[in-house]
Amino acid sequence: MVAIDWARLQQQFLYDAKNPLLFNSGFFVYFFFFFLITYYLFRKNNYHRAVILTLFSLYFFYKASGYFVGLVVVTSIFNYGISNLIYTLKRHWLKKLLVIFSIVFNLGVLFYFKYSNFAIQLFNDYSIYHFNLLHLILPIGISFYTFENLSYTIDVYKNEIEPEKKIVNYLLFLSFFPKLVMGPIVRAKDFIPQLKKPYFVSATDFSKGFYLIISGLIKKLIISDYISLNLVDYVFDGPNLHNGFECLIAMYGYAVVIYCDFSGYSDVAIGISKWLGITIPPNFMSPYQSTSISEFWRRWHISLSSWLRDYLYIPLGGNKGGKIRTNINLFLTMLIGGFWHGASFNFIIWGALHGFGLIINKIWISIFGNFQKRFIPKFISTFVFGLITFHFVCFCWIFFRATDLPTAMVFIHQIQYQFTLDNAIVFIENYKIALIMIAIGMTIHLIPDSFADTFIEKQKNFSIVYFVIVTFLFLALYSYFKSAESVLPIYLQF
Amino acid sequence: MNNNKKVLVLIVLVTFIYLLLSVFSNTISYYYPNFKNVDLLSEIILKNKAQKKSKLATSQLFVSDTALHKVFENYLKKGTIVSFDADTLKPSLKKFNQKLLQLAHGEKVKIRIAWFGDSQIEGDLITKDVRAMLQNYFNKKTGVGFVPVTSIAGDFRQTVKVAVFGDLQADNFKSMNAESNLFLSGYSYFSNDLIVNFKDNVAKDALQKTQKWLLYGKGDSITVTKNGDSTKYAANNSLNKILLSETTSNKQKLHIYSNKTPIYGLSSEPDFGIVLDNFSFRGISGDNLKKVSNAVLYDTNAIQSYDLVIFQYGVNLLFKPNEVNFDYYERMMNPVLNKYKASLSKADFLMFSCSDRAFKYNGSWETAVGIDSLVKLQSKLAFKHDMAFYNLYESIGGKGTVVKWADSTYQLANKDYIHFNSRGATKVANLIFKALIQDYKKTERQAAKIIKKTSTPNT
Repeated sequence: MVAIDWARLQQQFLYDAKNPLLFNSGFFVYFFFFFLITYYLFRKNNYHRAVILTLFSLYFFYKASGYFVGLVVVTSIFNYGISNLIYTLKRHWLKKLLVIFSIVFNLGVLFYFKYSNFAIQLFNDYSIYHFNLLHLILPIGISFYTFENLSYTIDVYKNEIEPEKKIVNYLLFLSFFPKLVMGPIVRAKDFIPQLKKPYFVSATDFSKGFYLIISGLIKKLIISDYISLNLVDYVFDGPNLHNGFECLIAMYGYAVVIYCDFSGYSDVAIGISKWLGITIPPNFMSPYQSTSISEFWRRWHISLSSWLRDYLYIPLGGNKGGKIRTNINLFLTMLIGGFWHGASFNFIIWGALHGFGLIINKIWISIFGNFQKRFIPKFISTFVFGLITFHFVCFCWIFFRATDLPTAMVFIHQIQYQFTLDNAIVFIENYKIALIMIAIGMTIHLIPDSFADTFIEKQKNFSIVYFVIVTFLFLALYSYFKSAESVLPIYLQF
Repeated sequence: MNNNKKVLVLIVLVTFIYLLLSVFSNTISYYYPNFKNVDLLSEIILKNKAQKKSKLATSQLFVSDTALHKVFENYLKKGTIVSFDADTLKPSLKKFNQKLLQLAHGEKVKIRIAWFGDSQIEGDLITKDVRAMLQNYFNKKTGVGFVPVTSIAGDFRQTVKVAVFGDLQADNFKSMNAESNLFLSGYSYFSNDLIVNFKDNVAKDALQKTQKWLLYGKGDSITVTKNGDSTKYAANNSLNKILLSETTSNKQKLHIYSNKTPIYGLSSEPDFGIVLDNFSFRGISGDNLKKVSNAVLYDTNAIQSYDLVIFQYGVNLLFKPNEVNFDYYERMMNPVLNKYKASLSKADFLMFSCSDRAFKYNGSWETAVGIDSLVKLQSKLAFKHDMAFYNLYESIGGKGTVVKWADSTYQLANKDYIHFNSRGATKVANLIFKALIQDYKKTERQAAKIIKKTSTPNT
């Protein structure tokens, strides 16, 4: 029989920097169990339900990032207060002043935590003075909730929404735990009204939530983590140790890793939300099926691309200032979007490349768009442009994943000049499971959405036993891959 | 119909069943061992201490001490090159240090180091920094040393650029033919018509002249065209050298016609000073070095003798996470070390232990359990063959170092938990350089004492 270690049990309730709370943590099972019971008990009173959800979300936040939970509370109080003030003020210039102050404050907090060291490093590199780097830890989710705060205050300023009266609802909008770590970025105008409706989960919601949670966990914890740990990390950390063929495969591998990781997390967040009676729109829609870069950004991280469109591209002038101005706006939007992902030149280059991609895409359509529609059969153009778009996106991922610019350049250099199929068989033999995972990840894209919808509709009639069995089947699969012996790097073997 | 109750029922059911399974984790794990990894109670139950002890038992050392001298334990010293001598004030690299001393006193001697290794030093990692530090410390004359015609890491090597055009057949340790006649690098090349553009990227004084040599093996003959002049050279020895130029330029262009004569590579070096040759070959553990013929080794000793030979291997032996017995490696390396010691007779020999390497044990990355055993065996080889030894593993920090280096924000090692990245390689090079200089200082102090003695008048 097991004996409980009470000291360890107590420790479980505290923040542990080495083991922050994630969906796959053992603690999350207990957390979700107690949360759901409490949430269900208070289901009839919307306000009480929101309070429960807020308290559990803040605790989740604490378990995931320690005392940075205070930052969410402070920024939410600030934005709640200032948006109410903006709304009540009559003078336009005063409203404008306050919204500017709000933008500066929110971006200032983000800049301090995320970009200070990057700026200091740049300054040190290009000046005769030297400042020591700051010992800063990036608070989890700060990039996401900063954008959520900004969109809220700007929407109130533009009179698109009325400010929320209950601070609890606003705090919950920011801290809602399913979307905490990796989004999606939600809008207050979509999220807060749902808190004022009764807790309702339709049969389709239940089935879809289950489907999204299980498929999301498989994508994130099994496919993405396995490929990353057993192939991609090896190659990206030492591209010089690998030939062009191996680097190329790792590039495709990373394309699957980032998709499965990011979309898997989003799916779990959307699935859990469904079970809590809250609908969050899809964040990914088979992005590698895109036949152009602009289509890619309509399918990839949709909540971010729509945020950038509404709060950056359009305020910059959008497409209203002529072709050149539109292209400049597009480029700037993507450049800033790239920088949002991380404080390094690699992300700036990644954003810039996508900016160029969008501009070239626009120019192509304006010159050859009609010709393409008239004379090239759809299946050919879909295939050719799909292939080109996919490879362009993959190429850009090199900058996104590489530790720094020199590593990215070595990676590209290996593909360009060191491409050889010597040892390809040994490579395939060694990494066969990772390669199968890559193939599965790619295949997921080919499954039509209608298939998932049909399956979800059928599944909603299944008994609860089915859902229990599937959950434990997933657990068995997860435990198998969690304990799988690491694949040795190839260069140890020839 | 509202299904919110169904959500609750599902979660309650799953949690209870899951907890129940976790209570009987030991029984379930008997049939399905992977369950241990998702056991819900593993973080809050009392740990069985006996389990910890059994893990320690697997890492017990295998090498017996009984036959060895007591100072054998010196191998555990970190940061120091040891010769297992009880008197630790004595230098370990006597011949090498003597030549360094001559150089330091203004004599025009060329000191040559052969550094054999695996992918740890590929692309001139570690060696480029040690070379630069040694050259800077002594006479500040630089040069990249020997460079094979091509290599798997040639393109990313920062210290040199070699571009070749023409048909090229390469032989190496893994694909050698009977007549390959491999050089110490583990490579040899054949080509009817080969254009080589060579550029030594090591920073140097603009006025320093650099010698550019072509190295080739035994065959019929070799014709070299440079600056429009063609010359035919004999290829009688197993190692032959042609001085292509001695100019302030760091570039060399040449055209080689060599049908049956193996081409080894080029060497860019100062007229006197330190020359450090990087002989890296990915994935090996040193046993392949036996494939270099006696004739090549003896001619090397005669034509460009080495003063110090370094062996840096080991991580490729750690390919099974739970392997703790490396006795086979001793049997593999004994003939190699005998051969090299006998043929490169003018050199001091220095063996490095392997560096740190980690595997995933119970879900977390930890230093290989067999590493202590391997380090001890490598030191035993050095002891037995009268070679100096440097405990690289302990010097970089010992157990857990590579995990710390790979996982830190300021990353020093790759996520394969084996290789250093360029920052880590520079850090390691610093440690090695310090150890070499520390050993040299011992010779310097001895020399100072002798000078003092001889200059003191007899009373």
